[in-house]
Amino acid sequence: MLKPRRKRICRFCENQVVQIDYKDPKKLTKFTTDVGKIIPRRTSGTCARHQRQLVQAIKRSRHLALIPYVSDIPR
Amino acid sequence: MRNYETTFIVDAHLPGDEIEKAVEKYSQFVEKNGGKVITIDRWGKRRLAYEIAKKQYGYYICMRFDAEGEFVKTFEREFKLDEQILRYLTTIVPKLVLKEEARVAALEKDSEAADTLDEEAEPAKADSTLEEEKKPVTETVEKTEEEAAEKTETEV
Ligand SMILES: [Zn+2]
Repeated sequence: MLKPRRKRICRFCENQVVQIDYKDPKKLTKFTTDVGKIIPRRTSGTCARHQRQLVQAIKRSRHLALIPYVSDIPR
Repeated sequence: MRNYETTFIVDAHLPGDEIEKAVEKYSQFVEKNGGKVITIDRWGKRRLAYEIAKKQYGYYICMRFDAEGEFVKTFEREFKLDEQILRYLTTIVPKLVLKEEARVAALEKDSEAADTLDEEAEPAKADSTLEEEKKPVTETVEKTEEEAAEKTETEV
């Protein structure tokens, strides 16, 4: 069976985000799996431009220990 | 001159005045080297998402400043040599973001000055955004050259 296809709308475009902030771990973790991996845009529906920004923001955020690189033990 | 943002983490085990000294040290370092500190935002003690040097907590500081590009290298070297600093990251604040901030600031000023007149003063722009529930109405400024220009970055 095919997975039900959700509408693919970029959530950042929807909210007219100018720049995705690496200092906002709560928002960023919405775009990572429980393990901490970045959700691909084919799943989240994020547009190319914002996915690029998102990836950069997540990497910066990880570097600053705001979000984990991997979390096999979710707190 | 360019606008930069540096976020750094100081060892939270240090006494408060030591942390404050570190903040002062780095903001003065910017000023001494021809830069200008714009804001210092102390987020305070936070739990780290993962241990760094066996530490679970860090004191986060985010600083905005204007400086020449060459300065950033010098600045980061200081952090690197400082054992009290657990992490640091310097990013360029893109022109697009500066524009957006200026726009929002101007809007706030407007609404302060002419409270009720606000609705009438902004109809042209409000139309194009239609009825975006209560999301922050941020306009997507024309992005082309600016976007290309903001590619360069310092990240360690
Ligand atoms: Zn988008």
